[in-house]
Amino acid sequence: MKRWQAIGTLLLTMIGWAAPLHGQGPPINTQTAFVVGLEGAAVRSFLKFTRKSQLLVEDRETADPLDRDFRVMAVPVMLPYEVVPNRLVLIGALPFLDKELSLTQNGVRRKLSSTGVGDAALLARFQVFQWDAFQRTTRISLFGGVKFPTGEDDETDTEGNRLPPGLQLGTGSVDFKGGAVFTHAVGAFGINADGIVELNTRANGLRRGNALSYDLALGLRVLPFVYETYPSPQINLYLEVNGLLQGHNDLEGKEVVDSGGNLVLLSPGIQFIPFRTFLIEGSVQLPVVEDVNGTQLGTDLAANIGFRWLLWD
Amino acid sequence: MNHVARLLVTGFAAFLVSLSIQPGVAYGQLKMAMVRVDGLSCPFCAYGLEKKLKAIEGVGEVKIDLKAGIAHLWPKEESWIAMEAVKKAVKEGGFTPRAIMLTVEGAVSEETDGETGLTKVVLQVSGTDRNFLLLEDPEGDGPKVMGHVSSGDQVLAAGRLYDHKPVVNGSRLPQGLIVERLELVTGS
Repeated sequence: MKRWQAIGTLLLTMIGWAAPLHGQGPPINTQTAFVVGLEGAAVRSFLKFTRKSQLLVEDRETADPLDRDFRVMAVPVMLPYEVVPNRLVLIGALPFLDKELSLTQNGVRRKLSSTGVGDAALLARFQVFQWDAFQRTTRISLFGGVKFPTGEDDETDTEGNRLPPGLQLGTGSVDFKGGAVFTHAVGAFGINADGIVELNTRANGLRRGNALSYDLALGLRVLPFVYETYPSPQINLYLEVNGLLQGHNDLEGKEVVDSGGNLVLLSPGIQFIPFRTFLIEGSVQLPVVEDVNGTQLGTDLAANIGFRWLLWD
Repeated sequence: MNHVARLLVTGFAAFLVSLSIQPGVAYGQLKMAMVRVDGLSCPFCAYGLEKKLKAIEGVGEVKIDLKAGIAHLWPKEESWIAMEAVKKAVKEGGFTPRAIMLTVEGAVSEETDGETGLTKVVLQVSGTDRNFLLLEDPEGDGPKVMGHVSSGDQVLAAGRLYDHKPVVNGSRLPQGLIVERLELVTGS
């Protein structure tokens, strides 16, 4: 409870400090309801590192007899394009992945890995509500898409054994997602929130549990103190809460006990916009709630650093 | 005609020609347009607005003031900027256009309606068919128009556009301009 009180105090302080300032940017790990700022096309990419090494039994840490250490480096490339001005943007996404699992079996330290292109996705954001006033705006958009099985889903180790599903580059399945995004910006302060449901289909006998991602981002422009004429270099700070609630996997019709759960990450981040068409950003994500089903590796941390570039027509 | 007389006639003729050219006088020009934009809270998003406004025919330069929530537009030389195009660009740029303010120079004419006796002051943009009905601020904050300018005066007027009913009592009225600043450039 004390942790949440500290988070709440920090958020309220950010809200109070934001009053005289003007203008901030899109959040880092949360969707935005804005579909503008994309005259023509844009590109977004980042390097994301995730590490899982602590074995959990539900929400309690326990010793791992295999001493597993799972690391993922992901570099997704996203290409948004505004097809209907201020209404509809389509996004193509393709990740490049490097996954590595180190474990000790029979006293021998082994390493299993896979590297390559993951599953591609076609996403869309459609604005359904807009309310504008002086230095403030409220937007609501629908967000959804389809993931295609372009990534390899039958990678093997050096002995020809199929790698576990978590190490595969792709799922082999066509999956769907849909939800809503809310944005409210007042001067330099912005609130973004989203709720997105993921519905997964079966491939190779496995259907991953359906999931709900729920996110809340608070953003604040800290520099310049007074934003006069556009464009002006600026620095934004973010504090995000990113959650993922996932159901059990289903293997050949049987529920996989050690799968799914609820994970909430606290994600502070920083964003620097040096000129009108480019920004760089980075954040760290730390688990504050991790309640896995059964016994699974828990998330130690995640971190990402990336950029967004608005391209000319 | 002797040599001195010929010089005087030639010089007077040159003077008359120079009057008609009037170099340095921006006769019938749009100096600047400003549009108040609501929803401007995302500088990264303002990029789209800037591009839309710059693409409007006649627009030379654009400057967006996030703090004031205003986009300033300067026309290309001897060009006009269609205000409907400005509103459309702001909407397509992702925001909401509110008041539009113009700074324009032109010749003033006073017209009195024979039936009603009402006098209206119209600013005519020379060389175009654009007229503006000069209106005083109903809240009394702006300068007076009636009695302060005369027909033929060249004035610089700055104010916000006012969309009134275009046809009143059977006569078509030009678009209104609620005057916030009025300067006499040359008297009649």
